[in-house]
Amino acid sequence: MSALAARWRRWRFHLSALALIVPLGFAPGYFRQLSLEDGSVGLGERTIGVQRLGRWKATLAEFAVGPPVVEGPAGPIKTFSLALESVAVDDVKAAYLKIGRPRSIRSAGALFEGAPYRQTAGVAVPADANGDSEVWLTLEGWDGSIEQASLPLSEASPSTAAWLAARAK
Amino acid sequence: MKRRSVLAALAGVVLATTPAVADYPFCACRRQADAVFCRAGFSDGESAEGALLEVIADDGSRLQRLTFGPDSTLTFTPPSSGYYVLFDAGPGLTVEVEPRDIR
Repeated sequence: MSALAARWRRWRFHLSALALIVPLGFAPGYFRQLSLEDGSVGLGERTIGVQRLGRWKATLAEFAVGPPVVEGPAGPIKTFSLALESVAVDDVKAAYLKIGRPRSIRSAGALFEGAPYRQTAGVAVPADANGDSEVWLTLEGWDGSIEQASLPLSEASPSTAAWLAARAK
Repeated sequence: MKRRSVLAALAGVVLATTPAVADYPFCACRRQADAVFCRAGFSDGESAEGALLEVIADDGSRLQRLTFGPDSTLTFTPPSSGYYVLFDAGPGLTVEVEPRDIR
């Protein structure tokens, strides 16, 4: 056996141990992500509150607290989650969220996907957004009716507002 | 044979745990002489070929209706009055481009 082969035999045990230990460092993040996705931490990591839109109600939450995630050419994306409540579960066909006032229902923003009790949407953060920007929630009913509500981005996602403030400096 | 089985099992584990790739739309426009050049697509690399782009007046009326070409780009002549651009790839897959962002 050559010296190199002997050295390899000796050290491959340590490499095997390393291969088992390194993933442990990522375990907390992995389990945090799992708990977010399976709903065991609730609607999201931070509940924003109940939004009243005409006869409908919906609870909005930040899916994960933290800055937006840059999705390649689409730019920064912030994920929110939504739960329709009471009659809205049956009445609402689609829910949209956008940073900035939508000009029409066609440009109401990101479409929430999932069951009515727990939907998520990735919202694009415009280049000119800041903490004073408004987040617009649009609900579209099966009867064609539209209801909208808005809240400041700094209230919807303080972490995104802080990220935008740091980016502006 | 055994090694092949292990590799197949590993590949299965990797594929089973790969998260779904969301496709977020984007559309960027810029001035090109007297025209406006737009490029659109999706964050997962998908092309916008065949997708709709509308030039809409400030009063909401549609001025132009165009589709993206095979290279995911298009060019149009901008109107003289107020307008904005709407990239519409379906519900929830829209992008508004304001004139101030067209330079």
